[in-house]
Amino acid sequence: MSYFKVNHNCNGCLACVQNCPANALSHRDEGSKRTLLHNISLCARCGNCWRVCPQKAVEFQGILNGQWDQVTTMELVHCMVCGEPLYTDGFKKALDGKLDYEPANLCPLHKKTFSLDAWRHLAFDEKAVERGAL
Amino acid sequence: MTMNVLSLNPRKCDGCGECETACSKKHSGVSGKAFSRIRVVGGNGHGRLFVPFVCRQCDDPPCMSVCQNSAIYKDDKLNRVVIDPNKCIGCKMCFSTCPFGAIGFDSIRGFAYKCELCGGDPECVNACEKGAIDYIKGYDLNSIRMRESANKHYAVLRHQI
Repeated sequence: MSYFKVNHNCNGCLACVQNCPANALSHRDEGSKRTLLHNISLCARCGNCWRVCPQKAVEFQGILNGQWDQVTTMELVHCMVCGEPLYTDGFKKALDGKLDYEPANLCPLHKKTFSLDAWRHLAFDEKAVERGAL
Repeated sequence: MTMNVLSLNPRKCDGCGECETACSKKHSGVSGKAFSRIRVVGGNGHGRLFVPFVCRQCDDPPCMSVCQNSAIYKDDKLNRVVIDPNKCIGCKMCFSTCPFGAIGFDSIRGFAYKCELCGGDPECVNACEKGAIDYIKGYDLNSIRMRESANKHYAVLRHQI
């Protein structure tokens, strides 16, 4: 999730920290370690750090061509018949909590198909036809 | 109790899909089946049986009870269940809950839609030449017998699963 990256050429001179107009760069000296810090919400993406860096260590492309971050991952519930992803298990729990029955895990098409099967059952039941059920 | 109901007769339906086209055309201006509130299922593997599926305008609608933003309400005057597109936040709760799969989701505009009986003059009824869809006004609803029938229907469904 790190947008601002420096390569192995960085020698910790802090020229980028001095020249950042948005104060998005900072550093921390702790014990025997110096850590370079960057705050993406302050960063104006101006590229001044990259321009000023004497070692050409700032890899600014990561900020411009940022990749997608994985925010969260959860279990999927699929249609029992065709396997189409329907919703997540958390969504399913929310649904169950609001209903007094548990809905079948079916996609809209296969919900209809189950009902269609019932109709077919009636259609081939001659007694039902006589009764005028269909 | 008398009310106006949309009546579907699968025996008369031949699966032509005119109702789907008419519905989609009226509600989204798209001549196709993409945004149709009514859906005909059947044919392939089901012989010549075609069943039009559309919102049943439930007495106690599950979609209404799961809606997170109270965007679904009952219109008792026309005996229908309505989604307010201005309140709908597109969470798909109703879409996933409907036992009949009768709610559609418009992913372009980001809200759920369903049959709202065209405000009392359903376009699918006008489009169906076979007379498989009918809008019966002042139908004398025998809810006790209908409930029994629905329970039987459900028992068949359970048996099939």
